[in-house]
Amino acid sequence: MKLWQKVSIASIVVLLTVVTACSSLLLLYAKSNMVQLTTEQAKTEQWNLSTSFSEMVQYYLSGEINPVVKQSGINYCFKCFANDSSVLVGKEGTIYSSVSINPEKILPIDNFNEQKVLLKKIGSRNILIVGSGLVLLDDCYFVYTVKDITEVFDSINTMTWRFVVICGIGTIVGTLLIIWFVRHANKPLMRLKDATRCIAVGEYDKRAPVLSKDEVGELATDFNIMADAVQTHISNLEETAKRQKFFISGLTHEFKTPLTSMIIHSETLLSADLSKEEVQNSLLHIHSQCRWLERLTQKLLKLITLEENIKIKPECVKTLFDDIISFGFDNAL
Amino acid sequence: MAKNRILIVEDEKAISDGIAVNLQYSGYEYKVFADGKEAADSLEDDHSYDLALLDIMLPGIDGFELLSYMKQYNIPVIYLTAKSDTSSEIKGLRDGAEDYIVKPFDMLTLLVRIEKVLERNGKLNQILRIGDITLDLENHIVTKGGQEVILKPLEFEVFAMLARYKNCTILREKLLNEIWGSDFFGDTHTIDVHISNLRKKLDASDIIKTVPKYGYRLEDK
Repeated sequence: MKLWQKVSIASIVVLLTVVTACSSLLLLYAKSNMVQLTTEQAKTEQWNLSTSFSEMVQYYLSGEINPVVKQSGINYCFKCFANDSSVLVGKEGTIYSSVSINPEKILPIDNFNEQKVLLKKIGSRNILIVGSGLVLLDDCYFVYTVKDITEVFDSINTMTWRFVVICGIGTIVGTLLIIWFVRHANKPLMRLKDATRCIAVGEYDKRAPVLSKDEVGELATDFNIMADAVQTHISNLEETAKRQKFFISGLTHEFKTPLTSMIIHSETLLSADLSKEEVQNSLLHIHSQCRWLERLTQKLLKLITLEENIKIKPECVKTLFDDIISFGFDNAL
Repeated sequence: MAKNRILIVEDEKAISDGIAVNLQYSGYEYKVFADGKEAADSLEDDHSYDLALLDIMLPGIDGFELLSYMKQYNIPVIYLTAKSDTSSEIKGLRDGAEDYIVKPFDMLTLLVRIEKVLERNGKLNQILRIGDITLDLENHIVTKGGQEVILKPLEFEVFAMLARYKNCTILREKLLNEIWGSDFFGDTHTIDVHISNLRKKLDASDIIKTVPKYGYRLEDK
């Protein structure tokens, strides 16, 4: 896998993780906020209902009254404040209800000073029940507010889907942008790679373009310095190899000439019946060629030892000339 | 028939002397030049050569340039040079040289190649004379003192080879290889039998010399 692909994939994974985590947190927070708000509303509503109902009963129905009148009075008072979510339960059972469930069975009230809240899923509906107890005219009553808050959950679900779609689109756009950016940032590196490959196959004059001032740009600059050094070394080596080849071919020529002459003359001495003078002549030739070869070998040896002993070091020009002058004088004297 | 004339252009005296001695003994005439320019200039007056042996690195004019002068007078050229690189060899042969021999070489190789080049160019002397013996290579006829002597084909071949490289000793193995071929299964005794027959038929005991443990030589002073 290529570097730009690795970097792209890593960036995309990070982007996706962050977006998903943030969205999820946001959704959870929104959900709990909405549920809490609805609960608070229901609690206020139930408290208002309970308080208003209790005050009205105490105002109109105080003193000794007939139980039938009392029953219808309480019923009347409750109706005055009730809406489609209110339930009133007495000790004999439900007095008033506009909902299809019995809240006193789901949420029984023990403590009369406390407002109780319950969120329960019944069938496919989410039901919020808020209830509290009252003691009116020596009897116990329970006031409930039962709210169907399925819509709240539905709206949260709708919001979740919208979030998913928006995040999806965002991720796709982000991915494309990341890929484009990484490839763009990767371009100088690719050029550097091409230059390296060219040098590897012997194109020593190839250089990498310096396109930016970042680390890749610095790398390209250093690479070019290295390529310069390599080119110089290679050309030096080639020059040396060429010189050596030239030297060896010259040397071979120098050896071949006396060898040829020696082979021809010795062969002639071996196979032909020569006169004494001719024999002498051939032997002289062989001898002179042997001496030539010997001189050549001596010179070669000198050359090798000379090359070994020469040491190159920097020296002041003035000192050098002074040395030469004094050497000249010494020799002249 | 006149002897084949060979032009030698070689700046190294030891080599040109060696070649000259061998050519003389093998029955060729020769002329030696040590300078390319001198050789080229001399062609205007005398260019009746059957072959030229040229060195490449010469003072004056180099061997490659000298080739064009030789072409003017239809003289076939063999290069004798220490330049063993392929490009020089290709250049020499492309320009029209007949052969290219790299130094060091042995003399018999040079003589064989000279003979082959002369043969290709129709300049090889087809009639050889050794004393009163005449050899017609083209018609396979041998005469001694004007009288035809009948030789068997292999005897003729042996005598022709000795005559071609007269005054040079030829190894028994070399004779066997050249005449019977390298795939011949037999010993060098076969050669001795043929030589003995030749000595009898041509009364040539004094000119066909045996060189002990080496071979035979046909002497022609």
